Amino acid sequence: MALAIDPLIRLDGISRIFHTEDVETHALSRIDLEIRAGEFVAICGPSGCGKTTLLSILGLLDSPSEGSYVLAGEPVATLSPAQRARVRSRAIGFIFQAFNLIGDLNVYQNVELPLKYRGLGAAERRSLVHDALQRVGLLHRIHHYPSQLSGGQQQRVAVARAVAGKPLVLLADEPTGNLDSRNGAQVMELLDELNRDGATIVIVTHDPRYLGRANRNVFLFDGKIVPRGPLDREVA
Amino acid sequence: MMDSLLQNIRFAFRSLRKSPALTVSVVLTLALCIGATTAIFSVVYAVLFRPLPFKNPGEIQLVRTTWKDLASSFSAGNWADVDRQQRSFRYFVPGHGESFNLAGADAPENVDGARVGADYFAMLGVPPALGRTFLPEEDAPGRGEVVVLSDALWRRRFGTDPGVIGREVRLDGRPHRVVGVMPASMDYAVFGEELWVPTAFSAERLAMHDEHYLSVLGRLKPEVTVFQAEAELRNLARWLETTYPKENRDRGIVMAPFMEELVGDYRPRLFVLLGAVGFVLLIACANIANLLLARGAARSRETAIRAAVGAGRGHLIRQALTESLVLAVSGGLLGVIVGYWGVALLAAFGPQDVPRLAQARLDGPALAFAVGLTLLSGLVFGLAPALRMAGRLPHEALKEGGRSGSRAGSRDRVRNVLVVGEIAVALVLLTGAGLLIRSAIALNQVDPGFDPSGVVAGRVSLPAVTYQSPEQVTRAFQRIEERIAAVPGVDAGALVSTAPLEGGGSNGLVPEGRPLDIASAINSQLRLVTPGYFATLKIRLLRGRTFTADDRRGAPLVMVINQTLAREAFRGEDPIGKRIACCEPGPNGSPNWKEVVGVVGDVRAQGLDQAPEPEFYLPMLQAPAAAWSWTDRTLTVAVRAQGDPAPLMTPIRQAVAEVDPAVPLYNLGTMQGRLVDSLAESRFSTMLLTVFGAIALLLAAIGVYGVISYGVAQRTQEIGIRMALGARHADVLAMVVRHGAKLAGVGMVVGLAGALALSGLLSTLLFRVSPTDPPTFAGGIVVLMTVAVMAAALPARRAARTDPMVALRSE
Repeated sequence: MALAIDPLIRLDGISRIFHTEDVETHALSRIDLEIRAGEFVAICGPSGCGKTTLLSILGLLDSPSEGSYVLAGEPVATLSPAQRARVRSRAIGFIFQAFNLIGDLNVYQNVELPLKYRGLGAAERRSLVHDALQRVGLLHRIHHYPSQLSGGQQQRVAVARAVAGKPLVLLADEPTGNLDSRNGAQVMELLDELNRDGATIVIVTHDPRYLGRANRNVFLFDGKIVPRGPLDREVA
Repeated sequence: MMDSLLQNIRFAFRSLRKSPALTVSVVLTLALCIGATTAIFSVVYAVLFRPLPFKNPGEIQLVRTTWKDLASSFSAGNWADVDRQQRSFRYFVPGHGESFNLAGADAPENVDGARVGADYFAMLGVPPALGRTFLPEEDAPGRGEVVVLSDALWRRRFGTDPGVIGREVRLDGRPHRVVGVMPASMDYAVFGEELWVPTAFSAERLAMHDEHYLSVLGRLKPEVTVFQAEAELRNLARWLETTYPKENRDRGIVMAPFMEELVGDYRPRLFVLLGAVGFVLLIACANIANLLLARGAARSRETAIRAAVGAGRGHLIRQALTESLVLAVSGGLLGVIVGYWGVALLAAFGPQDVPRLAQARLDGPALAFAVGLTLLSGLVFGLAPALRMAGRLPHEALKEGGRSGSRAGSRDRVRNVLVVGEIAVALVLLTGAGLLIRSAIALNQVDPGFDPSGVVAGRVSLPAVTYQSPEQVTRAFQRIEERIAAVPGVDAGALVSTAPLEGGGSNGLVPEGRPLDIASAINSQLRLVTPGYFATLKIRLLRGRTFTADDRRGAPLVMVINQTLAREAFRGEDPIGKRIACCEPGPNGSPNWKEVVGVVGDVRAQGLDQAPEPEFYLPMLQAPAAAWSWTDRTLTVAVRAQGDPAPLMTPIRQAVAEVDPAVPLYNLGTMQGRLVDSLAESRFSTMLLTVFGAIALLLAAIGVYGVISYGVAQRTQEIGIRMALGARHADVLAMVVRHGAKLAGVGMVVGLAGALALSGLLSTLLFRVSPTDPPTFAGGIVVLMTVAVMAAALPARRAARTDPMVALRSE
C-alpha cells in the first residue's frame, strides 16, 4: 500500500470558504499539511472546527477555495468531476462514521462496489473482495445484508470496502462514533493492523482514547491547524 | 359513527389543503379521466343499451330472408304468404325506406320516409303524439294517401302547428292527408325516417315473389320462444322454396332481435373505446396511488404518532380512505361536468351514421356510472396507500423519522409494481392505437376503383304521378343530363342508378352455358348508367368498350361487367361477346340475353373496406321497364368539374330545376367527401384510441418519472456514498436510467402478453393489418421504452448532480 512518493499528501495554503446568502464562512484557513506514505494521522478538534471539511477535501469530495493539494505527486485541486471520481475509486478508501453500507446490496456487493467503479474485471474483483473480507474476518457473512449484521460487523465491512482496492490512503471519519467501546476498539485494532502493513491512514476523531494510536495528531481550531497546548482540555 | 366520519372528512379536507399542488393535480387528473370514461359510457349506453323507444322492445325481431347464405329481403309475395301462415308473431309488419319529394310553400324538399304496414305503430307499441296512426283500410291501393309525420319533420317543416292534422301535403306530387304526428322518440328510429305512408300493396304486387326489398319487423307472442319462432320460419322458408322454386330456391328465413340488427355492428368498436378509456383511468389511478404512497411515506411520522397514542389499524385505514374518497368525489364532481361536455362533443362530432349517437346524453344511467366509477377509483388508488400507512409499525416509523437511511428498494416495491402495471396497460393501448392507425393508413391507400377528385353527385327522384311511363322517365333524365353537360365548368356528366357508396340493388344473373335456374345465378350489383358514366368517374376500361348513344331500346341488349363478375362468370375466358341472362324474362318467358361488350375495373362501391362484389352495368336506355320501379325513378347525377367542383353545386341544381322545378336535387356533395365520410366511424374511433394511447403514454411517463424521481430523492445519501466510492456522473446516470428501463421492460413483457391476448378484440376493426402485426408491436415497444427512458433521465440527471458530500453530512 505504501508508495515511494513522499510526501503522499501535501496541502499548501488550503482554504475553504462557504457562501450562504450574505454570510461568508471560513471553514478552513490556510492549511499546510504533509502526510507521508505509511503514516497514521489523527485529525482532531472540537465540533465545527473543520475536521470533516478537511477530510472531504483530502478525499476529493470537495474542492478547496484556495491553495494547492498534491496527492501522490499529482495536483488534484482542479481536476474535473470525472477525474476526481477516478482518483477516488483508485487512490482513496473511505470509512464513514455511519458505515454507509448500501442496504439493498449484500456484503459482497458492498465491498465490490468501488472495484466496479474502477472498472476491474469480475475475477479480479472477486479475489480482492475475498481478500478484504478475510482480512476483516467476515468472509462467512459474504451473502448477508447490512441489516443482518451488528454495528461492529457493518463497520468492518465498511473497512473491507475501503481497503479492498488497495488505495493510497484510507480516510476514516469518526469510524468508532456509532460503535460501543468493544466494537470501537476492534475497529481501531483493525486500522492499526492495516497501518502496520503499510497503509496510510487519516482518521478524524475526537475520542482521546484513539489519539495515541496515531503516529501524529493534527489539531484544528476555527479552521486552522494549531499546536496541541490550548486545546488539551477540549479534546480530552 | 357519523361523528367519526365527519371528523375524518374534516381532517381529510384540512390535510389536502396543506398540499394544494398534489390535491389540484389529482382532482384534475380524475376529472379528466372520469369525465372521459363517463362520456364514452354515455355513448355506449345510448347506442347499445338504452332500450328502444318501443313497448317491450325485446320482443321485436327483424325477420329477413337469406339467399345462398347472403342477407336478403322479403318480396311482397313472400311476406304475404309467410304472414298468413305464421303463428309465432303477434304482428308481422313489412316496410321499406323510401325518399319522398315533399312539396310545400318553400322549395321542394327530399325527405327520408318509410312505407309501412298499417300495424306498424301498433307493433312498436308507440301511440301518436297528435292525431292517429293508420287504419287497416288505409293500407290498400288507392286508400293509402295518408301520412304520419315524425316529430322532427313536424317541428322543422310545420313549426309544431297542431292544426297540421287533416292538412294536405304533396308527396312525390300526390296529395296526402296528414293523420298523425309521432312522438320525438320515434325520430329516425328504424329506417332513419321522418314520415310514414302505408305500403298499400296492390294485388299484383302481393303476387310477386321475386323482388326482394322489404324489411319485416315482427313482435313475438309472449308465449312463443325464439327457438320455436326460428323453427317455424325455417319451415315456412321450405314451403316458399317448394311453392315458388323459381324465385325462392336456396332461400331461408332468419330472425334476430331488432336491437341487435340495429347496433350489433357497432358493439366491438364501442367496447374497445370504453375499454381504452377505462385503461387510461386505471393508469391515472396507479399514478395517484403512487403519489399518495409517497405522501404517506412523508407522513409516516404523523401516522406513527397517531398509532402510538392509540389509533387502531381500522381507524388509520378509514382515515386514509376518507382522504382518497374526498379526492375521488371532488374529481368525480368535476368529471361529471367534463363528461357533460364530452358527450356533447361526441354527439356533435362523432360519425353521424352510428345509430342513436345523437341521442347520447348524461342521463341517469350515465350519472350512476359516474358515481360508481368515482367510488371505485377512490378505492383503487386509495387502498394500497391506506394499507401501507396502517401496516407500518409505529416504532419503525418513529425511528426512521429521526435519521435517513440508504435502503430504498423494498419501500418502493409497491410503487414499482404500480408503474409496471401502468407501462403494461399503456403498451396495450399504444399497440391498439397503432393497429387502428395502420389499418386507417391501409384503408386510405385502397384504390376505390374510380377517381373521386372533382366529382360531385346528387340524387334526383322523379315523382310517379308526373312521370308514369318508362319513356317519360328516360326522357326526363336525358334532358337533365343534357342540361348538366351544358353547365359551364363541367368536364363530364352522367347518370347512374346508385353511385359508389350509395348502396344499390342486386340481381341474379346466369352466364350462357349454365342451367337457367336460380341455383346457377350469380348475385351481382346492378347499375343503370348513361354512356358517360365510366368517363365521368374514370373507371378503368379493361377490355372491349363502354356504352354509346347507340345502346338504346331496339338495339342489341348489352352490358358491361366488372372484373370480379368476369372472373366468376367466365373463369379466365374472354367475356367479350359472351351472353348473360338477367333482369327480366324475354318474350314468352324465354331468357333475356345481354351481350357483354366491355369489362371494367372493380369499384369498391360498398366502402373501401369491403371487397368488390360482382357488378354489372346496363345502359339506361335499355333499362328493363321494371327497373324504374326498383329504383323508384331515382338516379344519381354525377358530374366531373374542370376545376374546383364546389362552385358547380348551384348551377347543377338550377339545371335540374330547369327540367322540372318540382324535382329537387338532394344529397348533393363531392365524391371525395363521401369517401371521407364513409371512413368517418373508423377515423373517429382511431382518433379517440390514439388520443387515449397518447394520454396513457403521458401518464405512464409521469408514473415512471414520479417513481424514479421519488427513488432518487430517497436514495440521495446512497448516491452520495456511491460517488464517494468512485462512481462517476455517468455511472449514476446509467444506474438510475437503468432502473427506469428495467421497470419499463418488465411492464412491457406483461403488456405484450396483455396486448396479444386482447388483440383478438380488435380483429373485426382492422383492415389488411394482422391483430398481432409485428411492426406495430415493435413500434409500441420502441416508443414506450424511449419515453420511459426519457422520463427516467430527468431525475437521473438530478441524481448525477448529487454532491458526494452528503455521504459525510448524513453523520
